[in-house]
Amino acid sequence: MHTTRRPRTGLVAVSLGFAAIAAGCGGGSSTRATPAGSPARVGSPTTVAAAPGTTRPHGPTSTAAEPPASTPASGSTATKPVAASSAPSAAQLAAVSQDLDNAGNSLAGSNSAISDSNVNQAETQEGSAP
Amino acid sequence: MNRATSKYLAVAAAVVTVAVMGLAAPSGALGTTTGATTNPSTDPSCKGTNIKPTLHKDAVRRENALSALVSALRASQDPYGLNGAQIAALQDAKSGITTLDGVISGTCYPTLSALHEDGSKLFVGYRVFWLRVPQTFVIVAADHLAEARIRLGSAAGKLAPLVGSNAAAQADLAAMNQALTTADGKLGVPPNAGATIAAVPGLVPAKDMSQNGSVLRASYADLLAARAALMEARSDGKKTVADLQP
Repeated sequence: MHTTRRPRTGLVAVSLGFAAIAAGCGGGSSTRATPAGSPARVGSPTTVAAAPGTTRPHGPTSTAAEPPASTPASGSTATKPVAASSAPSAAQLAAVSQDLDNAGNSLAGSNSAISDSNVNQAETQEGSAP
Repeated sequence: MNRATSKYLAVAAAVVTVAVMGLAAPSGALGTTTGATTNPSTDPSCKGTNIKPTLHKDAVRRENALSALVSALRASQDPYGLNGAQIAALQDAKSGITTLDGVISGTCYPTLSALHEDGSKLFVGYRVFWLRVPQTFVIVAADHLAEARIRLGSAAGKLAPLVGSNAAAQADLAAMNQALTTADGKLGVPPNAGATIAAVPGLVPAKDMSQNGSVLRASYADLLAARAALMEARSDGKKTVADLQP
């Protein structure tokens, strides 16, 4: 009896997720390319862990087609009814998560640059005339 | 044109070239006249010929580093409007080093101290590794952090209407916004960089680098603090999302 309703609910949720994520990823959410020729960026350690599947040092971010892990499974929303006016949708939360993931990528990209901005380290590399 | 005339023209050309390059003739060198009429690499009166390859290597290393720095800046977004002037400064430095390298290799130095004086310009006059590298990466790092800040601000803006009466989400979002404010205090808000970061692009090479070092250390400390605050904000944002999960 219940199985006839669950697919419909799930489809609606997933559809909203695609639309909202795609809207949220358009335009300004692209990641920039890693500076070419910057030796400090090559193989440098990162302390900020980007979310799995979101680290893309080169080229634009294009995760819109991938449903967020937090998207409720088909039917799950039917067993947990919440007031539509107060509960954020999975799509809304996915859009936020996308921003957070992109921020994580930017933070990871800053690590090597910050390390190379350390003048104490740079001083030792200057050398002097023979 | 006889041989004497040719020599005269060659000497004149060399003098004009040095003048155009804006470089004083090497102190104590045998002068451009001698430089044009002798081979600095083989003339026994020219000192330090065995040192010149090392200096040339140092020059090339610096030219390559400057090119890499320009590439790093060009690949970065420029939320504070600092990149263009820095690129110009780096390109000027590279051009100057190329010119100096040519002068050193083409000059017959009568003494080692004369060569040392010109060679020192390669280091002290440009400070590629001591100044230009950290200076440029302060700007690049600030660019990255500003990008992260913008994205976290976007996330916080999206979360604000979602937290509703969820107390945990409210608290975590408040913490996120507080962390973002802390980051703004160090990093600045585009297009205005924070004070310590804004002071960096104006630094120029100096023999005594203590003042430059102080400015760079202050900006480095603020970059570290800003990154820590942004990481905290991101963590709080993730907590807020978790709080709102059904």
